[in-house]
Amino acid sequence: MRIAHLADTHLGYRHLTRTDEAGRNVREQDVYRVFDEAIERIIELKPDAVIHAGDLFNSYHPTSRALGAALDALRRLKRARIPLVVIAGNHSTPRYAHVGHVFEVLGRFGGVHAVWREPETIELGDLAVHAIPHHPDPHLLEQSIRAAEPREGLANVLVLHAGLDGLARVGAGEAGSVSISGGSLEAAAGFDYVALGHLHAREGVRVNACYAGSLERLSFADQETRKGFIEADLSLAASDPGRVRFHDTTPRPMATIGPIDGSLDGDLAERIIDAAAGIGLEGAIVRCLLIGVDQDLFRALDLPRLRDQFAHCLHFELRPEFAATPPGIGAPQDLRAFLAARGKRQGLQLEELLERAQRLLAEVDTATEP
Amino acid sequence: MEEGATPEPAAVATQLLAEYDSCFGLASSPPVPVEEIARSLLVLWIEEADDLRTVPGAPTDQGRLSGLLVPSELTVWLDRGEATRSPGRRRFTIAHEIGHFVLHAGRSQAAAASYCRGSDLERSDSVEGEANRFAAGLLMPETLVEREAAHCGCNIALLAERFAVSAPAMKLRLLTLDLLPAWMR
Repeated sequence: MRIAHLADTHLGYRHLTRTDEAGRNVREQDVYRVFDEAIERIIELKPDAVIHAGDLFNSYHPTSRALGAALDALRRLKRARIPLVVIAGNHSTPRYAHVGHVFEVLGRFGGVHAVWREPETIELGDLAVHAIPHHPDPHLLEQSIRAAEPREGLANVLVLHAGLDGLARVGAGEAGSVSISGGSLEAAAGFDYVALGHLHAREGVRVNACYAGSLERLSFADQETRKGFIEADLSLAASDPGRVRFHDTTPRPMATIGPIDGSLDGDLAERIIDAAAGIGLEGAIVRCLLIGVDQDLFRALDLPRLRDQFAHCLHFELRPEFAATPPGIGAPQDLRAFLAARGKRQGLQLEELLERAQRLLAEVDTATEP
Repeated sequence: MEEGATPEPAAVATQLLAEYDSCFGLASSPPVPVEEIARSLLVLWIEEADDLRTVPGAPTDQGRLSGLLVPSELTVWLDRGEATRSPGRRRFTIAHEIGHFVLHAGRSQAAAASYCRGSDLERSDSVEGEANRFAAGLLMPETLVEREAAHCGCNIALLAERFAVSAPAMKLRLLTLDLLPAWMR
């Protein structure tokens, strides 16, 4: 008995303003591309079922393009005779019941069990899938977990979409995002496998429970993590290394340059370019962290040069953390430091600047003498 | 152990737990009473400050500090903000500073003060790495972790809650003790 477990596909996700030659948002296309990769690989693997642990769509009212991508995958799985169970996650659950649920449409498609209203157990041959859709109340969610009972003689899979206390909380600030406790997860100890969704990094959290993670990188928190889906062979023991296998997708690269200390001497643009040397940034989404940088110096940064230098990236952004605003020139002991910073920006020599400043101050003194 | 060889930090932590157990008695279930060990067994004060750089003797040129051990005053200082945000982090920093006191200061008031930045609490090399291994051994004793992990199928969130440590610290400990199935590593 083998299942494919994926989650957090976020079809319809859009980010940045870059578009392809057809005018489509590049990041949205990235999400469809890795989804397509995963479905293709799953069809090759021919598992007994596909379990999607929530957030199929990025929104409860998906665009026609996102819906098209989902329906296309459903059609391919149906043709390959691989059933799909998908639960609603916090992203795909409307806040108000009267809005209706896109899963109602999916449910009519055939070959797919889209669970969104309340927990359901779906029997697929020798497999029982206990599907608990997202609920914004963690207590009700925990009650549902405790109420779920494995069925005798079948391989039992519990699927839910929630964070886990103590683990990195991706999306903790999102509307309706919930976490369950380790104790609640323990209530699912009797299941052969617990397919989890919501956290975007793949992570085994119990010998029978795992987050599949997202298929694409959706934030810089994901930049180092592998992306893909899980193939779980429920006939193998929990300790068997072959029980859970991870299949990679090819997400868009993300990279962080720095942090670069902006308070140190040297041309800042040059230092950013140097720091990026040797990092594979082709087509990547790149951020450059600057710390302790002077606001004037930042404003004077040679942006056209940086734009040219990082043109091969999909996106390049500077994230400055500014140093405390320097005091005004009223404090004589700071005059030298103040002028050094200004002079660097304008390409002037410090000594020349100091001399001019002192001459001006002397003129002011003379003019204001009684 | 050869004369002069550095003792394994986790083994020293185990000895310290045994010492505490013989003096005060140690519960057979987690969490380990790290603050009690510091106060009652080692007679260390635990203090907090908003910014440890303001504590006399603390370095001011090393950025923000997470913990500070001042042996001459038998005091462990903690960053108040960090300690409040994460009780697990607070316990780990106390255990880490106890590690410096036992391993590197020889429990002597004559030893020099030592300080730790946030990044030091994640290092595996040098004296900071030793203090981290000591802290892991003190807060998550091998036999106790083995027993609890076997009972709950290596439920990382539950174990972290029971031992009052962070989930990443617990996962690292399970990895170190080779208790996780290969696919969870």
